[in-house]
Order: sequence, then C-alpha cells, then structure tokens
Amino acid sequence: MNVRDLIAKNTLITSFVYCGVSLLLFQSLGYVFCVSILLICIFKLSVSTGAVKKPSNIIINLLAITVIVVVFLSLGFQKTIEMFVAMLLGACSLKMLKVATKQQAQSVYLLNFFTYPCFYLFSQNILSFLFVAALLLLNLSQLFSVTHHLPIKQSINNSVRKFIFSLPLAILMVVLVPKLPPFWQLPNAKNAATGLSEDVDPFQISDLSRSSELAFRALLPESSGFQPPFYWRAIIHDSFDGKRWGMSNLQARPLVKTYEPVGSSTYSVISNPSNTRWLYTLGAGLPASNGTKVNYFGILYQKNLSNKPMQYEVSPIKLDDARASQWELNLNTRLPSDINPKAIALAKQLNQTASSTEAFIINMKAFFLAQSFQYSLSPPSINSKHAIDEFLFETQEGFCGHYASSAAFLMRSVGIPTRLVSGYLGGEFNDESNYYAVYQYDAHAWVEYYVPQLGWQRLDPTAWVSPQRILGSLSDMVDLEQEFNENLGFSLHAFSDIAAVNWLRLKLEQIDFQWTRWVLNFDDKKQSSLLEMLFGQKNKLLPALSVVVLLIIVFGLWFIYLTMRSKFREPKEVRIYNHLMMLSDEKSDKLTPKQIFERLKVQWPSAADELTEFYRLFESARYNAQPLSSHQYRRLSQLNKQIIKKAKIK
Amino acid sequence: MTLPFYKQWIEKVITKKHSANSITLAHNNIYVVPSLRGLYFLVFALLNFVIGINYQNNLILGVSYLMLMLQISSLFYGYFNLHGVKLELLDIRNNFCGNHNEAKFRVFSKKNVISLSVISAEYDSDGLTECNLFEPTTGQVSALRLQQRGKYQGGKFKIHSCYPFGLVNVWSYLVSDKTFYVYPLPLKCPLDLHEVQDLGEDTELLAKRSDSLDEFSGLKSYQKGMNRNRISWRHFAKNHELLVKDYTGDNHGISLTLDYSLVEGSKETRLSKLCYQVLEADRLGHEFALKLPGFHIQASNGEKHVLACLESLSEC
Repeated sequence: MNVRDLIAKNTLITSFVYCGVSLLLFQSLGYVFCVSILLICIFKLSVSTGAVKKPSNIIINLLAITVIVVVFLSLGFQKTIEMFVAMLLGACSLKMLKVATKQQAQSVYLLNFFTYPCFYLFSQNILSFLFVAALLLLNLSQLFSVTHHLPIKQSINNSVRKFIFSLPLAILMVVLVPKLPPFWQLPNAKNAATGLSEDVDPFQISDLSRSSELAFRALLPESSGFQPPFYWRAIIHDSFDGKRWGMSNLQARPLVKTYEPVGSSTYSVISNPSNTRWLYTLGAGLPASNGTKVNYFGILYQKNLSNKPMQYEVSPIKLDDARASQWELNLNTRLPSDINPKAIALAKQLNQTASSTEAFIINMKAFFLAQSFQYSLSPPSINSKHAIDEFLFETQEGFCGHYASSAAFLMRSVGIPTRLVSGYLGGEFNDESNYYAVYQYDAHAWVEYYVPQLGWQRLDPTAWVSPQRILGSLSDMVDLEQEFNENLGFSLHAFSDIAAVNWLRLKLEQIDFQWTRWVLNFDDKKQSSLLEMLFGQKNKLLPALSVVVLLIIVFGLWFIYLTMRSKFREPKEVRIYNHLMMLSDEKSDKLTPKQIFERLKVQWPSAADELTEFYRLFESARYNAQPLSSHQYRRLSQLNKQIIKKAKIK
Repeated sequence: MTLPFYKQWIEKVITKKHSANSITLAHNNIYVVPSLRGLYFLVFALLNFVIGINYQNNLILGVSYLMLMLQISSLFYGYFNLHGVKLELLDIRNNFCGNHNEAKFRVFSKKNVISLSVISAEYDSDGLTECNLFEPTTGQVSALRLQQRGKYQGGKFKIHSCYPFGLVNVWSYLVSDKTFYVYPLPLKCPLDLHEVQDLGEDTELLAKRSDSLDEFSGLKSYQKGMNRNRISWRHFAKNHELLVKDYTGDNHGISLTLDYSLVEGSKETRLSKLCYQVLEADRLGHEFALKLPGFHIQASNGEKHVLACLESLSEC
C-alpha cells in the first residue's frame, strides 16, 4: 500500500477519534468546542474524499486562532485543565488536516500517548478505562502502520501482542512501585454536575430532578452498630431568609466541641465526585484517613474538591453538646419578620397545649397527620412571600424539603432552636459485597432541634406523611414508582422491576464498586498493607527492589524463550509431517519420506488420495526453493486432519 | 580528517568484526539502542508519570508504566526482528558516473523481516530502505550514488531496522572488500582513432606488406586517423565514399589507438570523451588500443577489453 494513502487513511481515523473523545467530554469541554472539533472532523472527511481541496497553511493557522478563541470564550481561565485538554485536542485535530509526511504522522501518534490518557482526568470508571485502553491500542497500531508501511489490519494484529505483553507488567509496576506523594498541586477538572445544593429552597422547585447516579457507597461493618434508617448528614442550614435555607457559616469551621468515641470500629465511604466538598457522615464522626477534615458539626469534608472517587474512613463519635452557647441558640431561632402569619399562629396554637419540646413535636405531628398532606416528587411551585403558609394550608403537597422547612419554621417560631440538615437517606444493600449504595435520588432533608441537657436531636417530618420513605430507598416506594421512573428518564434503574435488568444492574454496580475500591483508590496506604502482606513488615526496600528483579527475570526468561524458539523452530511443513508420523508405527528414521508415504498408503488405503496430495505439497516445500503459500499451508494442515481422521476410523 | 581517538577505535573494531561479504545477524553483531523517537516516547511517559502522581491517578500512572514497558520490550522485538537474518553481498555493478552503482544483496530469513534498510555507510545510497520482507529468500538492490569517477571499495554497509514502532534503532554492519568502478560520464564527440605503429618496426614496410601478404577481408568506412594507404580509391572514384580495405591476420604492429594526449579539454573532459570513444569504437567493432599518461592498453576488442579500458579510465 502506498505510504501516502496509508497516512491519509490513518489520519482520517484519528480525526474521528478526536471527535469522539471531545463529544464524550462535552460536559467538561462545552458544546461550542465540541461543535468546532466536529466541524474540523467533517472538513478532514471532505478533504480525504476529495470534495474539498487540501487547506493551505494560512487557512489552518486561521482555524487554529479560531479554536483558541473558542476555547477561551467557552471555558475561560477558571477551568485550567479543561482549557489545556481542549487546546491539546484542538491542536491535534488541526494537525490532522496538515499531516502529509511519515515523520509528521509519527510525531502525532507519539503525542497521542499523552493526549488520550488525559481522558482519565475527567472520568475513571471501567468503561472509560476500556475506552482509553482501546484508543491507546489503536494508536499504537497506527504508529506501527505509518512507521512500517503496513495496512492497519495487519498492524493491529502485530501491535496487540506487544500491547498485551506489556500490560501485565505495567499493572505489576502500578502495584509494586512505591507510591509517591504529589509533587505539587495541580488544578483539578470539575466534572461532577450532581450533588447536594448548598442552599435549600424547596418552594421554587416544581419538579425535583432526580438522578440515578451513584452518590456514594458505604461499607458499614456489623460492629459499628449502626442500624437503619441511615441518615447521612452532609450540610447544615441554619439561616432562613423566608424562602431559602442557607448553608451555615460554621460548615467549614473546625470542630471545637468535646466528644467521645462511639463503637469500636470505623466505617468507610467511597464517594463519587460531587460539585461540593461536603462528605457524608452518619451522626458525627472523625476522619480516620488522609485528605479529609471534620467541621463544627462533626461532618467530614474534603480539603480539596476531588474529581475522582475518593475513599475515606470515619470513626463515629458523639459530640458533647449538652450545653450550647447563647449565640448558637440565637442563631438557630432567628426568623425574618412579617412572613407566614398563619404558620406562626398555628405554631402558637400548637404550643399552648405543649409543656415541652417533645409535646410540641407530638402536637405538630398530629397536625400533619390530620391534614391530607401528600408526598410528591412534582409538587406545584409556590412563589408567594408566605410560602410556608401556602404549603401548610393550601397545596399540602411536597417532598422532604417542604416538610423539613415547614417543621423547622414552626419550631423556630415558638423559640425552639432548630436547623435544617441535608444529606442522604437510605441506600441499596448489595448482598455479595456487603456495601450500601446511595444514589442521588436518595437525597433528603430533615431537621435537628436542640433540647438542653440532651443536645441536638434528629426529627424527620417527612416520615409522618410518608413513613415508607424512612424504611428504604426512594426506589423501593411502590406508590411513587411511576412518578419516580418518569423522573429518572432512561436508565437501567427505570427498568429495575424486570428481574434480568435488575440483576445486570446490580452486577455492574458491584464491578464498579470493586473497581473504585481496588483500582482507583489503590493508594499508598493500601499499597503498603498489600506489600506488608507479601514481603513481611520489616523490609521496606524489598518491594522496590522486587520490581527491578522481577522485570529482569521476566525479560530474561522471555529473551531465552525467543532465542530458543528461533534456534529450534522447524519449518511448518516439518512440524505437520512429524505430527502425522506420530500416528504411524513405521520407524521413520531409516526410510525416506517418499517410502514412508508409500507404506502408509498400503496401511490406510482409504486415505491414499490425501496422502498423495500431502506428499506432493511436502515435497515441493522441502525440496523446491519456492516456499508454500499460506493457502497451501492451510491445505496441508487440512489434509493432515483428514488423514488422521480416516486412519482412526480404520 | 582526523577522528577523535575513541571513534577511530570504534571504526577499527567494526572493520575487524564485520569484514565479510556475507553476514548472519546474531547476538554478537547486532546493536540495539532506543531511537530519538523512542526518547520522545519516554519523555511522554515521564509526563504521564508526573500527572499520574500529582493527581494520584492510578490509570494515568498505569499508562506511563505501560509506555515504559513497551519501550523496553521494543528493544527485544527489534533485536529478534533482525536476528537470524543472513545477508550476502553478491556484487556491486560498475556504472557510469551520474548513474548509480547497484549493490546486489541476497537476504535469507526464515521469518518476516520488517523495515529492513541496507544502506552504504560511506556513500550516498538508497533503494533498499524500510523494506518489509515476507519471503525466505529475496534479492535486493541498494543503489549507491557517486558523483566522482574512480575505483571504490565496497566499504561499509549499514543494515538497519527501526522495528517496532520506530522506537528503537537496531543495526549491524557489513564491511565488504569488493571493489567497483565509477566510469567517467561519456561525452559525445567524433571518434578519433590514430594509427600508431608499434615500436621498432618500419611503417613503410608494413604498408607494402599489407597489400601482398594478408588476406583481404572486407571494406570499412574511413575514420579520421586511419592509414591513407589502405583507402580503396576505386570505391571513392565510383561512389565518392571513403572506404578502407581491411585485412585479417596479424596487423603487423599497427593499431588504432585512442590517445589521451590528442584529445582536447581538461583532464575530466578528456577522460569523458575517451570513454565515449571507447564505447563507440566497440560498437563499430574496431580493434583499438588505449593510451593514457603512464598507462597503455594493447589493442584488442571484445567485452573484456572494453571493461579494462573503462576501468583504467576511471582509475586515471
């Protein structure tokens, strides 16, 4: 094949690959950029089909400037990593229009070994892993193809072996080479679009968009003593402006209260990337691993927003908040004036017959149960200034945010210190791997109120209206099934009631869990515990040394194997011939092959024709200078099989 | 040109080790190092490593290690690509200056050989570059381009492959003792043969004798410088055509000679003109001698004679 044609074909394929990569990253890189890459790809396609003339350097430079402007305008300076990757992809795509010589093509394919792995900055699940691995393999084949002027198919055959040989060694190195701490801090890609919002404003939302994306997984050992329902606290909201519950100013302050440990064991959580730094804690806890901090409320949070799944350990504690300072109590009873008069009246009325906070809550519960409140994922939105009044006395339809917000308002208006908590409730238990999977649709909001001497107590007003919600995950609720599935859109979750689909979904979940736990979160801690298991505690130097020794052994053995093979390898026809000879009783040492075949014909008359043809091919292979074609070799093996078959029948 | 000491030493070792007209590539004569492209590949691997460490990203780290392993295993793949290949230099063809001299090789290999180049390490050459061989025995030709006439040693040939991926340089040498000639480029000019009497004999006598003693064998067209005594005036009177009587047998010490000193121009021009005349004289079937400064080739004809003349012209 002509070198020029090969390069043209390869660059066209690579153009499509860039286009595909950009489209897969459209959430991070932006629509505008993706469209421009798509246009470049179409341009390349029309150039290669001959519809358009090959662009001159000036046109390519103009296009390059356009792409740079597009990247700046659509991404801006805040998203450094996105900008960097977009520039790289843009430059490579444009280069594809220009590549004409073998050297240029080779440099691009070398650069791709840097470009393609950048995909891992944005996504690291199994599918991404397989996708990029396939791209790297393709890239290697293309490098092979342009370097050695061989067609792509043949190059892939050739490269796959080399790739597969290197892959286990690379994995071995990842496992054994000591993990280094980061050299310096680099900006991270922000890719997670989902997560909790820092302000809760339920009344504006008419259609709670639920996503079946995984929020986090939790490994709760039996000994930790936690029982369902699991209320995962994430964000505390203590300022109410009449509509929205704002995040507490204390959310990022360090823990100053005294505490005592609860239970003996820690639990671990593997959280998916989110758009906030706040992590998920059952009750209160302390970080037992690096990379996390604890705030004023005993909730863990990330030091830096991570864009990959991160695992953290929590040791549960109980905060000593029997006594609270006056400013804290004031903060949690503060309400804006002149709103929700009906609700305030209701609260006062409920309070008249109540002697304690407990009694007030019982009265409040009775009110909610007496009215016909409905749990709904798509309640009507309320725009009135007196939103809580309207909810309590008119619409009476809402989700957790509505109930928590109203209850908190009622309690604050009679002077009970109350705050809103948002986090997750429930989780789907995976029997095989013993973890709870918590999805975005498990997001929940509830209330914490303060009782002197007892401290902060949890109250979930949603449970009064919809007790099922507390018992399990939202996905388990039969009443809301249709509404829930409509909100999910198309995903495997939506078809969970089909047994096979659900089985498949759970299997995939499990693979993803193990992947996240053992591959993505294989850090220095996990590594050192693994190495200790392998090499014993004492040797710190041995693991590092073992990599080198192991590599030397592997390459040494491989070298010896290849040398032996090239030395002793007999031609194919001889190997087939020997295989046939194993069948016969004739002592083949003293006879020429021709004589042997004559005897075999007598021995197996039914296979005489095949033997004749076999010998003819064998003879021409051995004694003619011309080697056999691949077709003839195939015929030779085929004949061998037929002869053996006939000989056995006899 | 003086080479640094270590280079001289390397030259010496290579010449000693690889002097042969055929070579079977094996562990003791194959050299393998990462190529420049391979170094770039490693730079990208390092870049991936830095990113993998800084983002604590095991997947990118894995890619970086994968690249390192690919580079290391490439050294082995490259080595086994050339290992066991037998290369034989059959012949280097002489040719005229400006055309190329062809070095003919025979390549034996039991397996496929990818991206094999055999190029002269001393002369500008091409032809056998980046060939993929899928047959056990093939004849391959490498073209040597030389601008200067002369006698050359076959010299050092570099057997090279960048398999796989162009990440490594795998090479060996073949230092041949075969010689070849680059003839002067023929320059068109009139054929100018002079009849010169061999030393110590009398021209008159020979002229007389030629009519009587030798057997007349035919007529030839007259060339400038031939003896006028032998012109057949009878034919001239009839047809106005100058023909010369030709006799077989001993030419009695008279030979047609191409003489360097009688050709005009610079040295190279003279040699080029003589080259043309040698070829022309051979084409016309003349028997001729060649006289060069300090060198004389006896009159004769035939292929061997022409070759001897051309070689002496190249060497002059």
